[in-house]
Amino acid sequence: MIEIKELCKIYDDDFYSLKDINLLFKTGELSLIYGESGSGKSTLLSIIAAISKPTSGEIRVDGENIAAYNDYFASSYREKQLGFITQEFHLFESFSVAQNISVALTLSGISLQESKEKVLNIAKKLGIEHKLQSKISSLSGGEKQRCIIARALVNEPQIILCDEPTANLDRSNALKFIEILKEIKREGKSIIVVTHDTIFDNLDIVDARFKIKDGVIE
Amino acid sequence: MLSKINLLFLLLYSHKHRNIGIFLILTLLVTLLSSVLFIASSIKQELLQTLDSQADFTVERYEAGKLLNTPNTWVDEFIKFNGVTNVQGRVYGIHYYEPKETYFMIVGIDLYEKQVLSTLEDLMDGLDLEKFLSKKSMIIGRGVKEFFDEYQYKDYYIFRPPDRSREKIYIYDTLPEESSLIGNDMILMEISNARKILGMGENQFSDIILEVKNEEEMQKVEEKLILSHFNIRIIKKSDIEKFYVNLFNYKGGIFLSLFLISLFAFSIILYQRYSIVSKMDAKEIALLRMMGWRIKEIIYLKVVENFLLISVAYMMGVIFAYLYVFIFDAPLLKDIFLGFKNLENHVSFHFYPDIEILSLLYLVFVIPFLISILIPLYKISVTEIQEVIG
Repeated sequence: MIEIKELCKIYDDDFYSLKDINLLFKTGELSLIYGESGSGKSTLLSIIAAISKPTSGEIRVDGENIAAYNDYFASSYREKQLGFITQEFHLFESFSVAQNISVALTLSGISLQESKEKVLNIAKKLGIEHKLQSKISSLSGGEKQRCIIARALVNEPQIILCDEPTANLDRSNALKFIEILKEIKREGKSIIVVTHDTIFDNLDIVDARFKIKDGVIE
Repeated sequence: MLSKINLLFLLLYSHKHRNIGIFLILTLLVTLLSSVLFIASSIKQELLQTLDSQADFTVERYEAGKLLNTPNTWVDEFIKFNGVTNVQGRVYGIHYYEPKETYFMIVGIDLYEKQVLSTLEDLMDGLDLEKFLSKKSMIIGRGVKEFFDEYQYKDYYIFRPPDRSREKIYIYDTLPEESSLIGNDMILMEISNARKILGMGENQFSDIILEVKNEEEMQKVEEKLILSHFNIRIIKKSDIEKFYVNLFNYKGGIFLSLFLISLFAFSIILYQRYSIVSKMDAKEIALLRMMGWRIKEIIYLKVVENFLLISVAYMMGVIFAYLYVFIFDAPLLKDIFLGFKNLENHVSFHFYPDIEILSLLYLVFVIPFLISILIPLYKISVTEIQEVIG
C-alpha cells in the first residue's frame, strides 16, 4: 500500500509543482493519474519512485516513509520493490536487448545462469525473445517499449510505475501495452500509470482514477 | 547474464570512439615522456659509470693561460708522495681533418703498463697483442670507422703530423658499441705513434693522472701537488663529476621542456574530459540509479572504468617507449640528447629501470585524470534522477 500525506513539491521557492497531495494506492490495484501536460503528474510519480525528493510531506510504502530515505535506502527501495516504465526510451543504446534487461539484475546477486533464465522468461512473456541479441537501434518503437517493460519486471518488483507509457507508441502498440498491463495486474502487482492518453478512458482494469490539475488532486 | 565486470566492459565498449581517442592521446604522451625518461636514465648511468673509472686527480701544466704538455719527470716526482698509489702519464689530443671539418680524439696507450693492457683486453675481446704491435696499428671508434669507410680507408689511414710528414697507421679493429658514448670519435694507438702524430716530444705527456686509495689522504696529496709546481692545474674527480652533472642538467632542460609540453597537452585532455562528461554519461548514471545502483557504486564503477583506460594506456606507452628506445635506438630523440656536433654517435641505450620516476609519472597521469572524471560524475550522480532524464 502506498499512502501519500500532505505532499508538496516547490520549485524556485514559490512555484508549487505539487500542493497538499493526499492519496492512497491499494496493493494489487491499477491506479491512474491523469491530467494535462505540466499538471505535476510526472513529478508525483518521480517522488513515488524516490528519484526526486518532495519539499514536504510523506510517502509511506508499506508503512515506511520513503521521502526520508537517504541514497542507500532509496536505491535499495528502487532495486527491490520498484519497476519503472518510462515515457522516453531510456535504454543503453549500444547494448543488446538481453544486456539491457539484465542490467536490472546486476545488483541482485543471482548467478549468471539464473539471470539468463529470468531474462529469457520475461522476454518470452513480452514476445521479444527473438530480439534478445538485437541492438536497441534496430528495434521498432513498440519493441523498445517492451524492452523497457521487461527490464522493469525482470526483478519481480511489487510496484510498477508507468510514466506516459503510450506516448511514443502507435495505437496498435498502445493496445498491446494495455494487454501487458492486464497480465501484470493479474500477478497481483500494484500499478500506477501517469497519462493523458485517452486510450485509458473507460478501461475496466483501472481500479482508481485521480485527476491532477496545477499540482492539486481534484 | 551481466555481472558488474561485464557491465564495466560493455560501458567501456559503448563509449569506444571517445575512449579510443583518449587512449591514443594518452599512450602517445606516455610514450614520449617514458622515452625521454629512458634515454635520460641510460645516459646518466653511462656517464656515472664513466666517472667511476676516472682518476682521483688529473694534473695539467699551464703557462700564461695556455695548456702545455707535462714533462715525464713529474710522474717520478708524484709517485713519491705519500698516499699516491698510482701515477700515469696520458697522451691524447685532437686530430683535425679539415676537408670534412671533423675531429678525432687520438689516445696513446702504453701497452707495457699492466693496468692499461688489462683494461684494453677487457674492452677488446680476443685482442692479439702481437699482431697489434707487429705494425703501426690503431683501434677506432664506430663514428671514426664510418668516416673512414666513407672515404675508402678500409685498411689504414695516413695521418699528417704537424711536421707535415706522413704517418700510415693500420686499422686493427673497432671499439665495441657499448663504449660509443665516450669512444665514438676515439682512436687508440701505441703511445709513441700518438706522440708523433700529435707533435709531442718523447718525454712529454698531455697530462698526468694520480690515484689515491685512502680518501683521507686526498686533501694532503692535493696540497702537495699545488706546492710542487707553480704552473700546475689540478682537476679532481669531483670537478669532472660537476662537469657531467652540468652536461646532464642541460640535457635535463630538454627533458623538462618536453615534460612541460606533454603536461600542457595532458591538461587540455583533462579539461576536455572534464567538460565532455556528456549527456550520455548523465543518462547512463540516471538509468543505473533508477535500477537501484547507489551513488558510491556508480562512482566506483566509473573510477574502475577510467582507471582501466588510463592504466592500459600507461602500460602501452611504457612498452612502446621501451621498444622505441631500446630496440629501435630512439630515432630523432637520440639526436636531441646526443647531438651531431662532430661524428654521428652510435650509442645503444641500456635499460636502467628507474621505478621511482616511472611510478611518479604514473601518478601524475592517473590522479589528475581520475579527478577530472570524478568531479563532474559526482555532480551528476548527486543530481536528482528526474532532473537528468527529464
